Amino acid sequence: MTRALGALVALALALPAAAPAQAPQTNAPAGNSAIDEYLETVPGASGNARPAQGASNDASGLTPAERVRLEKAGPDGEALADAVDATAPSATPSNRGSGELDPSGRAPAGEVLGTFAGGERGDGMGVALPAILLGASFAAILLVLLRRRRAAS
Amino acid sequence: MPAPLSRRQLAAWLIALVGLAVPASADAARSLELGFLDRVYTADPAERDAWLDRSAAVSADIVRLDIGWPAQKTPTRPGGFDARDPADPHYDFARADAAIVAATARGVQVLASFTGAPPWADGRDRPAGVTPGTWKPSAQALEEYGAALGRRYSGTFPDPARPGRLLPKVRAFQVWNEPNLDKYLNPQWNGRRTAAPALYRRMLTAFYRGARSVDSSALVVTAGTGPFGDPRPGGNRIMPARFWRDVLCLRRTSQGRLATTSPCPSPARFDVLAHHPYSVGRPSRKALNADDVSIPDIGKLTSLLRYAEKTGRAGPRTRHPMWVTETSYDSSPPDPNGVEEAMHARFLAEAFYLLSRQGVDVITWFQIRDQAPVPSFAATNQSGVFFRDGRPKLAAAAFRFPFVTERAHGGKLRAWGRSPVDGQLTIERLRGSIWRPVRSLNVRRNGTFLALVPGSGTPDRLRARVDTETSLSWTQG
Repeated sequence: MTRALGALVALALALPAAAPAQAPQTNAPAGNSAIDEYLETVPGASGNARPAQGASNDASGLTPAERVRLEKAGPDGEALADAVDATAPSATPSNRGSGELDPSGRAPAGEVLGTFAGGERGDGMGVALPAILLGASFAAILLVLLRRRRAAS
Repeated sequence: MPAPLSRRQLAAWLIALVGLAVPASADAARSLELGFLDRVYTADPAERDAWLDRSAAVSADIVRLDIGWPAQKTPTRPGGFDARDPADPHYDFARADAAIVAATARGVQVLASFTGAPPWADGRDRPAGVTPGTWKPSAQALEEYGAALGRRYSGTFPDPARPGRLLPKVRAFQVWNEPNLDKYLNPQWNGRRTAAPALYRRMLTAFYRGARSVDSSALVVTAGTGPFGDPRPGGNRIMPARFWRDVLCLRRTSQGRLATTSPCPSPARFDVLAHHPYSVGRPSRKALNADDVSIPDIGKLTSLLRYAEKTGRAGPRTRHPMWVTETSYDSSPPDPNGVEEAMHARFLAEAFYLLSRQGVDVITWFQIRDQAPVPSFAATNQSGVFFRDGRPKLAAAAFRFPFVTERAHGGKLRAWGRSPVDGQLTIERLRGSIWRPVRSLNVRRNGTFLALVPGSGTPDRLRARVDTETSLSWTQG
């Protein structure tokens, strides 16, 4: 059990790490992905830069429909959407190109979570599985902390 | 033996009992005016009038009309042009006049807005690639245009198209659009320092001076700022809270507190601060960056405004209201990436509630009808409360009679809305297949109401009814 939880923690940590070098990622209001002036730049670990002209939401961590679906699940879903935003790679397909990106331009974490959330087709498990994954990760961390405390005492 | 109570009597007693159990102060409500911004209002008369009729039908109080800056578009200022005189032949206000008369005739007030300068009012040495009309517009020209507009739409100026009659007074003038974006104002940055805020401060204050010089009651609204900016200096956009701090000669200290900057030789003067809080995701989702402002973040701007008033950085020395002169969501259909139609209606009502709760007095929704998807859905707005062919979306009902509920303390529910008519309004809860009254209150047309009702502990489906009108129902999410 402990070994399985450890694997889940590793998976959770690996998802954001899988993102390639950060370029500015942007979110667009639903249905307006090609309107540059209303793109929201996502704060990134490698610094914030402006989106290039012509940047679109196609490369966002979640599609607007997925975001709405997650947010409908309440605070947990909203937190999950924000987590995907924070882990997504560059959203700016440009003429300069970025060979490291998934052709869909979507974040690996977003792709996985989007699929679990049901994606556009509504055929997934909703937010249940991602929530279980996160819950399991926290449980594992708690377990480790408790063991350390016990060992210390 | 007393006669058994009829159903109606029983319902009346129940309403009275529930009403007693809920504090009267819960009904405290505030004013909220609603309307639209849409290019169709300055279209040809037949099309314009049909959409103004629909605007009035969904109980709009106000429309934002883009009247432009209809002066002659020559590279140099025309000789003999008295730009302060609204009757000068170098102006052509015919289209603006007609739209303002048509809206006012339907009981709809007008917010007259414009953006873009005529070529002769642009600054010198506009770089190639910068949109004409956006490069360092002349403050002097804006002051003159302010005087011309202030006089023409003061309610005392003769209407050239209707001899013997006067042009209506407009509710307010709005100076420019989204000046924190390089699409509308340049330059945005000068190296690592912002340039557009100081430029806009001079433009705004000059217009205010001109408009007030001819009509002391003219109401001047700032441009609504775009919701998102670029985090690093030198981009195409400035984050709106940063933009307004710089316009108002304020700064954030290293402890995060507000402080004034100096010198600030000519503080901004205006009557109303405006913003465009488009949101990514649902209306309650906050912007990710500290200086971006989405629907739930209006407090970032009102806190600046109050501090600027206190420190003399926002004149005149009165409380400046907050207006939202654009916000919206695209719906699906027709935009495949918009939000589903029922959710679109829900988002509209929720946005109105959240904005009203944050002290916003006026909201103009962008827009009343969908744009044609040319060149694409993604590059255009299908945010109307009507489809392009005139069929109403669910959002049209939500616009006319917005109704929202949310959980409050003590297991109660807070119910908010805006009534389309005067009368006694009843809030009802769905029990099985029957709507049962839970609260009754007196409302006035287009006035908001706020009431606490007992919750059942599970998601409750409620709606409001007044006279013959029924709101869309709302279940807590």
